[in-house]
Amino acid sequence: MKRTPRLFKTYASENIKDSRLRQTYRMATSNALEHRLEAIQDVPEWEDLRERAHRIKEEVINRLDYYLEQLERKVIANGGKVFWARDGKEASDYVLQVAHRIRAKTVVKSKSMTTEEIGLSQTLEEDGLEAVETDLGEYIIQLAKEMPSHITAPALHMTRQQIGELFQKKLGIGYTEVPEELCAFARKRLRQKFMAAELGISGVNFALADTGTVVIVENEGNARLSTTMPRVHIAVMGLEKVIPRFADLPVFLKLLPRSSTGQKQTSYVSFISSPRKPGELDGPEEFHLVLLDNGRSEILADPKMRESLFCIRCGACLNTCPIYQRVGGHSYGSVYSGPIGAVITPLFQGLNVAHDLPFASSLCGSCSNICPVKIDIHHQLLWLRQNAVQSGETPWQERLSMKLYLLGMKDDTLYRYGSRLLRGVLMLSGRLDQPLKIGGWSETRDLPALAPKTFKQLWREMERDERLSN
Amino acid sequence: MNGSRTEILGRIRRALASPPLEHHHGHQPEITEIRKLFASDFEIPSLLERFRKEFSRVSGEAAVCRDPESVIDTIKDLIRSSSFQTVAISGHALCRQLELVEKLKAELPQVHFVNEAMDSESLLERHQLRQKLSGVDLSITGTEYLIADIGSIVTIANPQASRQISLLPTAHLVVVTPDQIYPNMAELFRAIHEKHGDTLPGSALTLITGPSRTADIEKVLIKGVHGPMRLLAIILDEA
Repeated sequence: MKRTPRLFKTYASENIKDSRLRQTYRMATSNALEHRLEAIQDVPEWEDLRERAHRIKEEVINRLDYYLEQLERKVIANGGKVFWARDGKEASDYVLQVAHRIRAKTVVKSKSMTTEEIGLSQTLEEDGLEAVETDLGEYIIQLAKEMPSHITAPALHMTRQQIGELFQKKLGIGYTEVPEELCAFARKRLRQKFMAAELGISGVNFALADTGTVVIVENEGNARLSTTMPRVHIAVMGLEKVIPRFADLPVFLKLLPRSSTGQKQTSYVSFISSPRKPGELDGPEEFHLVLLDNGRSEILADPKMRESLFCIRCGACLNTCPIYQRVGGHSYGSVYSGPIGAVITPLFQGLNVAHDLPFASSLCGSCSNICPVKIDIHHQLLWLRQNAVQSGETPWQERLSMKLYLLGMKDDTLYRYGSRLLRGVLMLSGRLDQPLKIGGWSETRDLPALAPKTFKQLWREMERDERLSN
Repeated sequence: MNGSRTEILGRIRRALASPPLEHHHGHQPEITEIRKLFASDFEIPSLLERFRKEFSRVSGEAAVCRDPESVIDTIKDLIRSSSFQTVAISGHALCRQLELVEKLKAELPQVHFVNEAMDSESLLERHQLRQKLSGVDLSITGTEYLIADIGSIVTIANPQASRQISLLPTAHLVVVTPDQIYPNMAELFRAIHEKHGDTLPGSALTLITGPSRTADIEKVLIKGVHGPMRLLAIILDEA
């Protein structure tokens, strides 16, 4: 189902009523947070690692042109091809062009948020290719025709019963809700696809500029299969995924798995530097790297938001966010959900489309605290709110009441008469001691009743008491 | 084909013309050397013990053998006790040195062996090899390096061993020696960089840490979703 961030409020108010869904999210996120905490307990250098990672990202983002050119040179020197794509369409067209040239029928894809962002699988399928998502979670949501509900666990919102019914309906197997059986079936089915596929597509977790290597971090082995079995491998990466040196990578490999799943290391980390080298027994004959802009250079142009390009997509800020935990990933209407999704979705799609997302936060700062590369996420949300207000994306009632409030706060006389007027109205209607009601806003929050006496009255009384006691 | 290279680089350069934001995290701590960020893991009495411990922590099954004969015996017992029918063996130097193919064949006539180095000479054979490997119960390979503090195996694609042999079979056994163990990733990466400079060895280098796993269905941990369900190691320690 195609979703849009415009409808955040609608989705969120539906999802928050679904107690089954809320429980699924609560279980999954608290489970991930617990594992993370265990995993960082034996790392006394954790804070230094975060700082170091932040600095490395800072260095690369502030000299992005230099490092991208270095990466490009090295990939080409290693025998790979590099394609620069302004947007999703250019990237998809390039992939299609390669697929047509090699007469591909089946394309295997490993999990990649970047290709989700540009809807690559759908484009390939519309062109008549069989594009198979091979990460188990992605395979499930591809069958269900849904969006990922979490950056690292795309089918987090589904129960085993739902997955069992889905497999029964879409794959024609007998119903089972035993995870091991569902998994074994997927293994068999997807193994055939890996054997048949002519083209493999992967994302990129890190691209090393000095060695021209793409690094892919995973647990299942589907990324290894997608990048090993087919004749051609295309890796698609956002421009910001480059890091300067091979020697920097241990920092990120220590932070990423611990932050996302609480593992010391994921089962597999692949370093792919070139197509098959002479004499090697397997591996693709062609390696292509697609460098995707799709709005990233625009984010770069705003020094305040630049830091959002540091994100390594670990998903920790989603797990810790009290809003994400309750409304769930699909409410955001974007492939990127949670706090970081609420930052980058408006930047990618425009504030006019995603104006509600920066407000989907309690600004508690838990996201910034947990971020392994120290992105100041909650301040970025605050800045986006500022932009939303300035560009008139907020409702007129809110703008009007803010104007009145400002007027009153700036002028002593207006403030005094304004509050007297309010008190008078409330007294006449007999609601002076009741919480104030503001349509919509106070449905889910309490605005306390006015104090029985104003500050000025209290002050005068205090002065009088003091005079008397002297 | 360069696509929109010039335009994108132009946009980036224009964007970077506005200066970066002041560092707003309050304090600016000293930058620590990356090696030191891995320093707490240096307090390991024995690299071998640490590797074994971490390897089993990620569901790997490790055994230490004192001589080549007991390596053969251990593998034999494993194949028998797990009732493996087909076994593939890579051409890694250590596998050849131990004459794994010859010795195991002689001792286990009922098991079918695939000798990767022999079976991958022509293109057609290569294609059949992937089919064969996909149906194999156990693959036995060597490896290039091991990392103690995370229990990882590091393999590099090379003319003696494919990428798929450690990936397609149901179980993967790696035969290693203690001199291949590095304390942590930072030390290993330094060593690789010193040896190979800015061109990493092989088309692919892979860190393997435990068997293939997923938790995509209700966070239930399942092994062997795409790759091997079991990962085993025999450490030949002749010291």
